[in-house]
Amino acid sequence: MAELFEPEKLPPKSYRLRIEKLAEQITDPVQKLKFLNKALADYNREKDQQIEFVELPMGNGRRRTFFMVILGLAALAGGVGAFVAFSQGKIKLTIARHFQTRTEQMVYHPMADTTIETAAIEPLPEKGPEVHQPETAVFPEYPDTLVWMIEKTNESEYYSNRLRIFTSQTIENIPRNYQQIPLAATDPPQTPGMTDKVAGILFHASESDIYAFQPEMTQSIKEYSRLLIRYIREKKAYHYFIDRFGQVYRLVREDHAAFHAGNSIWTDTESIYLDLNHAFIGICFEGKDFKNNHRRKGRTNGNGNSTHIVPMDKSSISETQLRSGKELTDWLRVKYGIPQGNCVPHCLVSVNPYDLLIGHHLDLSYDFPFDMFGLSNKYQERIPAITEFGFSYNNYFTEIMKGRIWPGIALSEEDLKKRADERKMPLKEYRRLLNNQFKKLFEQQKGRNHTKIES
Amino acid sequence: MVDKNKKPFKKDNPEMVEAFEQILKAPEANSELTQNAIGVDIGTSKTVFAMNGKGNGHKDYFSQLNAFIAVPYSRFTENILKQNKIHHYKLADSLIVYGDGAEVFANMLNTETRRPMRNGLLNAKEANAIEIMKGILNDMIPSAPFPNTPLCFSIPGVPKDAATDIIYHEAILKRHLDEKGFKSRSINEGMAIIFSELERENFTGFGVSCGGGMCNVCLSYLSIPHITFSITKGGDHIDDAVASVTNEVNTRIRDIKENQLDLLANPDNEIEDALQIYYDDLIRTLIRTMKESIEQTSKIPKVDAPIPIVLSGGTAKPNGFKERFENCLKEVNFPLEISEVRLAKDPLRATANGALIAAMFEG
Repeated sequence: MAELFEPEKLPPKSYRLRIEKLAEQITDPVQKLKFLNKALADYNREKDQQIEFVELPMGNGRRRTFFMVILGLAALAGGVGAFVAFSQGKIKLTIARHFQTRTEQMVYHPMADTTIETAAIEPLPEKGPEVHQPETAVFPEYPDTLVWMIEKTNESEYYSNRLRIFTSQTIENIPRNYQQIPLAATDPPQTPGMTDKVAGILFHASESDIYAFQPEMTQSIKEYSRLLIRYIREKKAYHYFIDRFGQVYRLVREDHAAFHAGNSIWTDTESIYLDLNHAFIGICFEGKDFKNNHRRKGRTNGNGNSTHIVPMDKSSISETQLRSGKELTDWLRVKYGIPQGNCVPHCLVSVNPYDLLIGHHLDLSYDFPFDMFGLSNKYQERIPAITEFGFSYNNYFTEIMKGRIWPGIALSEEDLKKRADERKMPLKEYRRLLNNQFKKLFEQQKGRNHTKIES
Repeated sequence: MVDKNKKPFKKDNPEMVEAFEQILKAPEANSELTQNAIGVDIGTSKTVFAMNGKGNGHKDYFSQLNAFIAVPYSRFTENILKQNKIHHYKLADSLIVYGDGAEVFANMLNTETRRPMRNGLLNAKEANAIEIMKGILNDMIPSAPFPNTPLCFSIPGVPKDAATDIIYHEAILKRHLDEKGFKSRSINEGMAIIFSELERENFTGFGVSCGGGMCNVCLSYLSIPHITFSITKGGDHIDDAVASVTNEVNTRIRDIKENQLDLLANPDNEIEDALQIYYDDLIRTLIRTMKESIEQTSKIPKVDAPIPIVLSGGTAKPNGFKERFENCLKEVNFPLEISEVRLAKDPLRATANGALIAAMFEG
């Protein structure tokens, strides 16, 4: 019979009680076992006769109570702070900064009957770079509501805005690290500044097959999602995945890159982002925006992209999924201080760097509910790939997007022409100049980037 | 984790303070050996493996049925098995299919699987028992990732109601695991439940594992096991008994037991009635043996506070098991004050989880 400890070595009661009190402060079972083992093994009966015990500053039970009270006060203070800020017309909660240090303290959760981590309250972000295209932005650049973790188990995280993230399938990829290119840079920076800051959020659609959303299809829907998750994990394709029932899964660690963006371009008022795999967090909705057009089967645009797809009448992404997506986006924006201008669908950033064309990927290229997400309508805003680097689009794009061409494209073209006129250059020449600037940056980026460029 | 800002107290036993401070200073991230530790619950009906997953505190579990079936050898059958990745090996003119796939084959052939384990121990009546258990272990953990990777495997307590010992069973498994490069050791199944479920109580209380072949009990105080024993009644015993009095096949009894039995509801038919009777018998036997074991031992520490009982294992899963256990406990004059009876958070994985904690402790 294997026994870890010998019963006869048990010390007297007074010593044991003291051990118990100390052990209560350790919540990791292995650490606690180590402590108990050592404390009991090292017991010295002679010395124990002279022990003078002094009370612990605070027992575990009292500490739990203390923490619950603190949490209660924090929530109360957060609510009051928000109310005051709202009433003054400036929404910037400062109360959260008192909780900036994340506590790792474990407490007992009376409802869950399980050990959980206490709330890691995310402070509201400091004001970051202003976002490009301010004239169409009608929503606050930064979130005005706190979101904080209220429960964490081995399987999931639960947040104050109802967001629940299933975390047990999270995998690692490569740590986030990308070159920060100042917006003003026309040539590649001589001393590249690397950063691991999360700059934005890219929304994707899986464009996978879908079963009818009906009760009798539940098992099939679930099984398909399971297979899709497995595929995404294999490819390390997205940080987050939202299944047909709106369940949110973290699949790649947030502090690591995921291969979701491919070749892509985005800017805000401070930086150019060319490596969005690293700079942006990828959220994928399980769903489909396009269907096959069998009448046009086989025709390609020369890059291997077939033209036999047409937009569906209505995207398959459901309101439930969008609600989850909004909760996730809100929390990520609070956590990383992401401005609304840097939350975009994949279609608006995706480019073909060789043909210098926009719209290489077209997921979420219509009907994305920006309003619901508290974001300005990016379809109506300038496209950085056009305004900053002179990208254009071809017949293939207009054919597929028939009737749904983003108004922002015309705006960008106008902007481009205006700037060419200011420089007294023909548009074609100015576009070529911008294209060349992109090529330099892209070549440098390609050389630097150890990650997979194509998603 | 540990609250590093709190000093224990000003004046105390130096060894104890030193032990506490060593824990405080210990790095949060454990060594590779500890992180790769493995816990294995080798039960009568299943083998469950627990290991640390990626991510903070996440654990992965895998299981295989401890079952096998022999089918006549043919190249076609062998190909089918290979294509479907069903564990098997060739023995003379037969193919021995084992693990989860054995049940699939048994259903196809309308027959029962055979068991390499019986009453918590290697089944002496099956000539292939050792090879099959080795096969299951090999398939799930081919070799130690590092030399001397810690591994804890569960063993039952010495049965109170049968003249057998566990020495041979433990030695065979330990030798096999050591040969694979692990630094293996055994842990009593009841103790594993305590490691898994009674951390908040400083590992003080009863851990009761009600499995297929037997029920294992351990009473621990501050992680020190004081009483360990088993009884050779478990889920299989209930199946056999009910099948014999109702003239039904075991498979049907097991299906009803696992899928629709509610011990709080009035029985709907003869089978449910018999199941409730035999469940009561098992619980009463268990509590009576616990009581007798406590009364017979002289080394119980005087415990000031009431202690909990944690119930675990597949046999404890039916709804109402805990309540029946509580009711039976009230009927006897139990020698220790019990604070609560509770079910393990995950009754089917608690033993493997406890074994993993023990393995990490060893690392």
